[in-house]
Amino acid sequence: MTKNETKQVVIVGGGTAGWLTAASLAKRFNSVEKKNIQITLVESPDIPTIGVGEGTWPTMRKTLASLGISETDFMRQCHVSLKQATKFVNWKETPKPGIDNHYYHLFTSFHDANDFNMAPYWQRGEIGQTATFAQSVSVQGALCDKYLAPKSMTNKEYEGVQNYAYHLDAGEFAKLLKDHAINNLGVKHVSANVTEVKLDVDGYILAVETDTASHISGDLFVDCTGFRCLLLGEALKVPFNSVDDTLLTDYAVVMQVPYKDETQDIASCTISTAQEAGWIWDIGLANRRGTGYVYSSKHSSHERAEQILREYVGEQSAGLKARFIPMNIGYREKFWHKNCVAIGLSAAFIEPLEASAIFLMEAANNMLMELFPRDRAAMAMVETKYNDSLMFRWNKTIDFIKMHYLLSRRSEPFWLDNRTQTTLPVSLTNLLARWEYHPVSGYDFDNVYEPFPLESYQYILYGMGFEQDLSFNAGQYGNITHAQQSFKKIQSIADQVQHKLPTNRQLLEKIQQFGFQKL
Amino acid sequence: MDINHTLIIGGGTAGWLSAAILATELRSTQPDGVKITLIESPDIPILGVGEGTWPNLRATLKKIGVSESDFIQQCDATFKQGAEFVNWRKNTTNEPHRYFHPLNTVNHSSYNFSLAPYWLQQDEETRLPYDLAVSTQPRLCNQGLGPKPITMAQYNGAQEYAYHLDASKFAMFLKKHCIDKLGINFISANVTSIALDSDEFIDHVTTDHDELKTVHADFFIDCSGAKGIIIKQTYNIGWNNINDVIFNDTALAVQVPYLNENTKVKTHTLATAQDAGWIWDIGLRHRRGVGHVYSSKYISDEAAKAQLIAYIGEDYSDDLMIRKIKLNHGYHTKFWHKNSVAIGMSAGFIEPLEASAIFLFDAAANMIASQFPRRRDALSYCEESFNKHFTVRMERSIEFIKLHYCISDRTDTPYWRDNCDPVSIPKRLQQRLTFWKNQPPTKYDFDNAWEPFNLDSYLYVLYGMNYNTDLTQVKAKYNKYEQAQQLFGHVDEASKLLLNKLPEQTALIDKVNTYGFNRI
Repeated sequence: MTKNETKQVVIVGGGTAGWLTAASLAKRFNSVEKKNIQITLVESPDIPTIGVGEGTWPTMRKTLASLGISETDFMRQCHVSLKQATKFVNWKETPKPGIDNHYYHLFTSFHDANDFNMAPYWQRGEIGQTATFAQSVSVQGALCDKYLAPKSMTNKEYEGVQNYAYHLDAGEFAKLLKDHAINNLGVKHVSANVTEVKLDVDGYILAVETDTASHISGDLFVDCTGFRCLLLGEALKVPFNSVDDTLLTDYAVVMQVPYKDETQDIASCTISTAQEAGWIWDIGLANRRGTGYVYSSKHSSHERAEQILREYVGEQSAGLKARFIPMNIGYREKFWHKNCVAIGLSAAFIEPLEASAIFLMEAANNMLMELFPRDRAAMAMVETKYNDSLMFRWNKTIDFIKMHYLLSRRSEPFWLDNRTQTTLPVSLTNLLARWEYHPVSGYDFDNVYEPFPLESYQYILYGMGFEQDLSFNAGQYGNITHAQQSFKKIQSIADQVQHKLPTNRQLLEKIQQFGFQKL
Repeated sequence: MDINHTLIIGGGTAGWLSAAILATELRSTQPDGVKITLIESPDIPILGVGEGTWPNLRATLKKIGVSESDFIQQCDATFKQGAEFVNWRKNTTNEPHRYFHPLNTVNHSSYNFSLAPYWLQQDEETRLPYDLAVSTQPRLCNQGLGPKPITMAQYNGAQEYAYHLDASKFAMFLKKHCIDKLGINFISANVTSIALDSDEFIDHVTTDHDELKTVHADFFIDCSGAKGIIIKQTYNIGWNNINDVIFNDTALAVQVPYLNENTKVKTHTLATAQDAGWIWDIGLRHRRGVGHVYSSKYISDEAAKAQLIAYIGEDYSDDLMIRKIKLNHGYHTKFWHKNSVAIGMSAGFIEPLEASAIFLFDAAANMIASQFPRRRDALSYCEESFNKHFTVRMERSIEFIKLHYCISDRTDTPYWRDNCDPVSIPKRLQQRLTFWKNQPPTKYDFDNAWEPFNLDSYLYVLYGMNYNTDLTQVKAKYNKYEQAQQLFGHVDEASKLLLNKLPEQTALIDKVNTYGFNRI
């Protein structure tokens, strides 16, 4: 037996981050057996969860399956709809009256671009002369255009005809995870407010004091206290680094919008529409839409922001209440310090443009579980590895989001300010300089845990109309026949698949009635 | 300024393999492709060791358009399914310690599900050795079976495989293909000087050729071996010496014909540890390539030679020529500089314990081709990216080689004791080994996409060497016993099936040499 073995994990804070972490750890360590590592979650009865963050990545399917949650139950309880893409509207340029511009960032590409890269052929006009890049390399845009689902009722749980993720009700999702964690996975739940964090002489957390449940000691503490960052920030004094010099948005005004009636189409992608000082998300759940305008308060008054959101929603916004949320964009200097790790908003927050929040929680959980330190002596090594890897992922996420702004040709002051040199990360401008004359290559991404794959960069670059000149190296792209055949095949699959898939709404209604086949 | 013409200086495996890859990818035969010239000295013989390869060579050979049968026939190639390490641990019984580092990840990959923690929890007295427990391939190697039946299409395998080959013949084979099929312009001459422009970019080279006194190009590849005509002699790029990590500085190499033509040809490389180094043993169809790699600080050349002769045994005769080769371990502080890049021994050298040399040439040429800068203003990005990548690849390769030595419990000679001295172990490897004392390596330890040795390789060596990972305190997180049992069972079943189905390596090679594979 070594001293300071990690036997008790204390998670402070509920919400998606807290309960997802609790459920993941408890499932992995089989905490229902009392001899195994035990998980306690302390949640304040007084602090409501923020409850936005309604988009996920396809990784969530694997996460839920591994937690032993049925996809049918999850979809019913959390009002889930299936997401196949993000549609970026009016990002490319300020729209001319009545004429919107848009492009897709899709989850499925026909070829893995590391095996065969279609981009140079599309770019050089050898395939799909009139087709967009997304149409040339994937069938999924065609499905989104028609509000179709990525699967039908005959597909099993978590299996799709096309790759997909979810739109979900974040409040319900936290509840689902909470019930599952407490009732099935052996997580101990304490409803109390933390009043004090006790440190030992080495600066490790010993215990937290609470108002109603006395004192809870542990060996490893997970800070899921949101923006407050009670443990890592307040108690351990790990400073916060703002990235407001790179990402300029600092506020969101949000509104939940009911469907007009029971026939209104449910989008099978997140719709992100650029506005004069930010952008509006529009996420169609099974029972309502969630919308929000993310903006820069330096470039827009709050009144103007609300007005823009109401205009976007249209007449349905009448009588609906708008909620304002200040956003503190940035991250902690480190996420793991001594025996404390922050997951969720307490670790970092960046605007939800690419729905990376929940994805990064999953990534953090996976790494925490896999590297789980046996005792205090093993923590230092894990701390370094974890911080390096997560810092890398956050930085690349920031770069990727910034790229959307940088490539835009919109002309309002907010957009112009977004393109000034001082706001641009060098890591991003270096890559873009390279891509002006070269296709995006697997060699541009040398970390396995790169949050956004090569294909994601392609969708954004070409969707935004990034100008790339490959002419001087045309000789390298000689596999024209293969590219043309692939293109034809994609078009014919798109035609076939459209007739086989139900609409998102049809599928969701059927799930309410029947549910999917279990795995 | 456009880059339309590349000059490769030096033939050999590195030069011709790079030429073939670049010519294919950059479409040298097309008017808008990149023209490639290779200049090779008629006076310098090819070093011609480095007879082991990695599976990626199959994809490369296929890509450059050669048939596997032609390759096997002309390069005396045989199939390689892994390496077996003998005597790398203390000898506690009458039998020496041995373990395999197989190439297979066909059945399952530890990236998806790692069996290591479940193996670690089995009873040490009764469990199978790690290699046998998780891979089918050691059993096949023990029986000398080939990785595929003759009916399987070329380059496909029932098991993952690479090759053993005659390096001189391989260079000749590639040379012929490059000149006949891939449009490479060949000059047989010595480079006499390198001429730089005012920005210190290479402008042209001068030669001792009767007519072609100067050769201009836009981009230059240094494959001139240890000489380093560009990287060392022209640019004087710094050198990272690693003699304090990898001690071996000399090799004695010999080609040993089989006394009996019916000798079963091994389907794996043998690496047998000695008092102050190790002996490689690679089976081609008609001869073996055998060599002793050792440190002259710890053993005299005579004693090393005596050990080599003793190892070869009855196949040895006094008329065999033993060649002595000085090894200079290390790598340059950068490989790409201005409009030039070094591939091969000019870039760096690591002993052949894991046969990484040809793999690294192949990887380098593929990366250069994939990112090929067609304009001078694109060079700096490629330079930075390539140097970063290859520094990682060299560092990680060295760590992996060192791993074989530094977790040994051999204490019988100063060579082995010094190899385990922490001062000789790279810091990063030390940290990893400390971490792995309490949990097996995971995919998070391998976050570089271009990691030359992956998680599976580390697991084979660590647990082949019985590295002591104490799981007691983190046991709880490994609770997928059922799935683990299934996978262990699958390895066992698949092994039985394969043992029945696969032909002997010798018979398979003879058939390939007579009939060839299906060309698909």
